[in-house]
Amino acid sequence: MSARMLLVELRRSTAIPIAIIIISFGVTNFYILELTDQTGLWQPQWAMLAGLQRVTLIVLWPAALAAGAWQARRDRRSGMTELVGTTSRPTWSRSLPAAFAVGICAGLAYLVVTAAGAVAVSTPYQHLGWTPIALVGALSLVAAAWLGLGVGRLLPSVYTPPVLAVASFILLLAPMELSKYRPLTGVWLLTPNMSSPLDELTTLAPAVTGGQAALFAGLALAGLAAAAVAKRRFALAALAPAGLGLVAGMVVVSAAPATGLQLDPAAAAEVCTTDDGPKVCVLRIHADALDSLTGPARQALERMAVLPTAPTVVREVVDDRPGPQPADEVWFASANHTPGEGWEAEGNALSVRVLAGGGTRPCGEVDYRERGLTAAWLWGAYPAPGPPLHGTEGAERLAEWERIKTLPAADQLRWFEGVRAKYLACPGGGTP
Amino acid sequence: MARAVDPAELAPTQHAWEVDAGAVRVRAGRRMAVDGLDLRLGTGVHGLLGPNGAGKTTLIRALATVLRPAGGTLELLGVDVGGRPDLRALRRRIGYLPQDFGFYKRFTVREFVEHMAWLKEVDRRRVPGAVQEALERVGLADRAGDTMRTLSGGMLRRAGIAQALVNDPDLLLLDEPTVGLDPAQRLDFRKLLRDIGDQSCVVVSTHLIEDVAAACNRVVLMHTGKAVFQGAPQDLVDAGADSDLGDTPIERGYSALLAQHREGARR
Repeated sequence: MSARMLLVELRRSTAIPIAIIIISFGVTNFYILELTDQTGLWQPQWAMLAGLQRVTLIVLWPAALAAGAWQARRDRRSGMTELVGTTSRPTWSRSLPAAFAVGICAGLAYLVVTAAGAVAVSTPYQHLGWTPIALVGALSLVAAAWLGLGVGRLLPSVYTPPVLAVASFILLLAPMELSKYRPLTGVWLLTPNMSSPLDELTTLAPAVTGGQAALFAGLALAGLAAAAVAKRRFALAALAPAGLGLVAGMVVVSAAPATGLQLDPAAAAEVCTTDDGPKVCVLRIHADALDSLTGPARQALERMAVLPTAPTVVREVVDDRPGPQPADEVWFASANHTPGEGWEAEGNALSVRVLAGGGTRPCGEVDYRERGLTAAWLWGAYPAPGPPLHGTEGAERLAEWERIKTLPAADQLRWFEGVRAKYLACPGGGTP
Repeated sequence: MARAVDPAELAPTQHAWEVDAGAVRVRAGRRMAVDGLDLRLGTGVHGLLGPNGAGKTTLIRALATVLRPAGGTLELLGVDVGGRPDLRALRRRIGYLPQDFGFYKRFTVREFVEHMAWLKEVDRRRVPGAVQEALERVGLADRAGDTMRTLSGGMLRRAGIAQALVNDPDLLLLDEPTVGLDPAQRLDFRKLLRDIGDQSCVVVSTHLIEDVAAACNRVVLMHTGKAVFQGAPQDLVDAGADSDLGDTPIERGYSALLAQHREGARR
């Protein structure tokens, strides 16, 4: 392929317009969230950045498809079909510069948006496990542009680009809507756009990314082949790799968990204090919040020292970590951390949160009243530091507190140990 | 500018005529627009004259390998295009300006001509020089950086001629090339045609009979799909008498020959 012609096509084809659309839409998507203080959706984790960007493909994928189809009609639109048809260069060779220009611009533009989002990512968890999610997103746009080129060649009508855009938008919207009623599974996992943003600890299963890569590689090849075949009547046959890609994608994705999502074990690994004090551990993704937890967590341990089985360590745990929880450990649910902001309380209020349920995390049928009262009991005062409770619940809880305090000390301890034991056992796992 | 010489350029020609048609028939849609045309064209500038619907554009499109002959024989630069020839090598040696000349609006003039040179597989090292030369020959070098959409009708026509010339064709086909050119540009264009005609076979379809008189060595007059006259412009002049329609001797000759043919066809 001629580098000079590629350069001309980069400037004169739909490559630049589609790149501008992708970049402006993608960057706007990230920074509108910045304006509305929702940066927690992408800034705390690299995989969240990559996942949130994939959501934008619901619009950008149809746009790239239409841009490809529009490009495919250029000769016809310009009245160049006859003249170009009398030149010696074979069709496949003729089609490459524009195809590469559009493909390169669509793919690179997507990665430019990733980079624009990346500058604002702030996380203690540096890793590269998210890059396949971003790269497959870029590949999907290359596939869309080339598929558009191929379909545009097959159906060189002025209506092809808008019809493709609308049809593909509906096709991509379907799983998004479906996901509101039941989790997406199987072939639906292969759609380029994610139906919801990822959270800090969740990542796309590698099998899903792999299946998507296979599908988009097939679509891209099919589109390129359909755009490049000598005779238009062979273009339909050239779309065969799309079918192969779909089959390969479905096979690969079947190895993934049903939801296509999985816990990122490295993000959920523990980072612990290294000084001589009692050990406090947080998830690696919250490593920069360890210092602010350490003091309140140790204060909580001091309050629990009166117990017959006093815990000696505080661990932050993922919300659905299965039990049983050892009695010499305090488990602190990661739901107490707001992505991008930190712990939902500080100082004494944070200590009280650690003490909730007697240093356990919510599990099974959660009774927040008894969890709050056990915390206050350990703290030694009601109301304990934290957001005040009003209304009926506040009154009833106060009445319950006063009833407990009238009990003999042994009965109080028995009541406390009963609540604690229930949450320590927690057979199934936590409640998200 | 010095340029590399392709061995193909030095090879002796194997054919007597650049265009050799024997009773060739070419369809335009359902109509047989060229119907039993005999024609032999060698090096030089050949003017293709005839009323609307005579089959000039269909003939040129067949010569440009857009249309395949439906019958008869047609050899272009020694290649029989009636069978299943390898058109690729032949097309490298043809230059073509269609009657409806389309162009990419967003390309600059230079990019457009460069793109056409690339499509015609002009040797990569020769492309910049060939493009510059073609633009200079049509007087567009000073507009080379402007986009095609900004050109006037006459400039577009010249850009069309430049792209037809850029591969230094042995067979140059120009369908109505002087439409939109102002008088001075037409004078320049005639000189350009004469220059190219020294080396190549140039076929120019036109309604402007004065262009033919001024620039062509040979004239082909078409009517109802056939060549009804072939000769030098002077022969065309000689065919007319003062009583024939027309303001110039060559116009009178044109009218006389057409009238003769119409009468012959009626009889």
